[in-house]
Amino acid sequence: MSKILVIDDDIDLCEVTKAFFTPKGYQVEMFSEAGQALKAVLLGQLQPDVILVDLKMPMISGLEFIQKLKEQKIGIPVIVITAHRNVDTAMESIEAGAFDYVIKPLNFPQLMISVERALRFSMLRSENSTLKSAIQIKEGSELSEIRGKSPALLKVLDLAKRVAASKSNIYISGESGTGKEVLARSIHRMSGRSHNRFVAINCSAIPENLLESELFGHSKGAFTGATEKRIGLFQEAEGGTLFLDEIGDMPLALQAKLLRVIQDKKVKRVGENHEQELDLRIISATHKDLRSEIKKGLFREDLFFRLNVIPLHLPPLRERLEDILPLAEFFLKKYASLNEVNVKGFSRDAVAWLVKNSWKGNVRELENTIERAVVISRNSQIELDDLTRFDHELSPGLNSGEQEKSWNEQQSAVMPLDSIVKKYISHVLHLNRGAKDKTAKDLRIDRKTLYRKLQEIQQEEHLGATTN
Amino acid sequence: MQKYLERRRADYLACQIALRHQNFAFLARVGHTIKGNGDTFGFPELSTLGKELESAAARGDFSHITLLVGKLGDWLNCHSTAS
Repeated sequence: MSKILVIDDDIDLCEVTKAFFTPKGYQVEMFSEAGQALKAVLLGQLQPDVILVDLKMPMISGLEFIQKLKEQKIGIPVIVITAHRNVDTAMESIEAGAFDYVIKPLNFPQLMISVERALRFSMLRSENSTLKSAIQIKEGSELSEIRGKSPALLKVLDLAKRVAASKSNIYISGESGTGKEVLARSIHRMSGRSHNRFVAINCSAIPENLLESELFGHSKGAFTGATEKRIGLFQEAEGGTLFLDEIGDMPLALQAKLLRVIQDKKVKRVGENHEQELDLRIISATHKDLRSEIKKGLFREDLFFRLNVIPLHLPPLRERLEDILPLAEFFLKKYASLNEVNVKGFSRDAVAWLVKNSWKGNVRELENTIERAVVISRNSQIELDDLTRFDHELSPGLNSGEQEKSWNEQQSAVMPLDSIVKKYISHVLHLNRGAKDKTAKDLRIDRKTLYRKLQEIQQEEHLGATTN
Repeated sequence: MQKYLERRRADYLACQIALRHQNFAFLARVGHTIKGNGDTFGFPELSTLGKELESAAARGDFSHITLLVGKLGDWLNCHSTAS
């Protein structure tokens, strides 16, 4: 039995509408005040298939009612009843999200047609949504970027599928290179927020003083250099998902501000007093052990509990050995096709090495290794030598020929101190095969400094390339 | 139908009080309601009266409102004797 909710402060019209629809097999609920009806719908006490609402009512108008339903992402079709015959009112109703509008005096046969159309639309939309999620679950299409069939990985993916539709914040833990951002993106695509933006920020890659204005935005003149008004990432992600990568590196002062945003669901730009409402989901990730950071006083426990509503842990590649070969095959096909080379498989020695290697840089390191091997391979299959030839001579992301020389060989000429520092950083990164954590540790600098220096190196390389 | 007429009689009494207090917002509200439901219940003349009442109340036209509330009373008398 289809349910109709009628909201009109004119009780006579409510009753006559009920008297018309009830004998035709509809269940009709009446409300003379839109606020109470809204509350009942939002709390799930009423689950109508179609809503008829009067446009002009004393407390909450029909348009405001539609707006509030829209804000809560409730898609029940609403038919507006109006005593105004002008086109503007009708247009305004449809623009606000009404399914249809009818003009008083009520013409019941006409209202019946409108209600039946709304019910049909509601049914089709519900079927569409059910089919869409069934297809996604069957094919795992939204998770297709995450390769692997190990029980440890499948367990995480299964949980990710189940929680994607919820509104709760998600916390992804796992070593660098395990695919935390890929998983976060997949969760966003599977969620009801997929039509809005996925905004990602790496909290450790942005200098502390800029991170706040990146996240919150700023008004013009809020600080030196703020020449333009700018919206922050919180607002960019409105309606969608904000991915806070390396949340463990967020400064304590900013953690307090983030906590307030999560609690109040409001954001205030730097230099402004006005707060704006927010509707977004936060997915955070870090390679750090946040519980131990809490013990050291480096991470707020209350923020951790707010972020860690649904915890997902991506296991390192060494704990899911059965995923190494399928991943290697996948990257082989990908890079063979990209480079248009005819490399089709791995030699027996290469396979043995792939499985036995420790893969400290996880999937990212495996991908870089296979890409390199595909490019240098001269045979139809990857040999052990293709995988290990540049073990100590190349590192991902560094393309200078000088990388192939030893550090001592590079120091034949006098050069500015800054250049030596940058070259040495590149050299250590290269020795560590692109592992930034280890490089920062070896150089006894923090990750932020390393990222900043690497950014400078990239910019200089880019400038060099464009001027040459 | 009886209920509808009873409610209009209640509206009429409330309008008289509102008129004494010059509560134009309330009078406009009643006018709007009658404008909306009169036709639906088969009384187009009541819808017209409601429309006039709503606009007179919006203008704060006390004498015209008095006249219209009087007309509403006459209409009710006419229909209560008929029923």
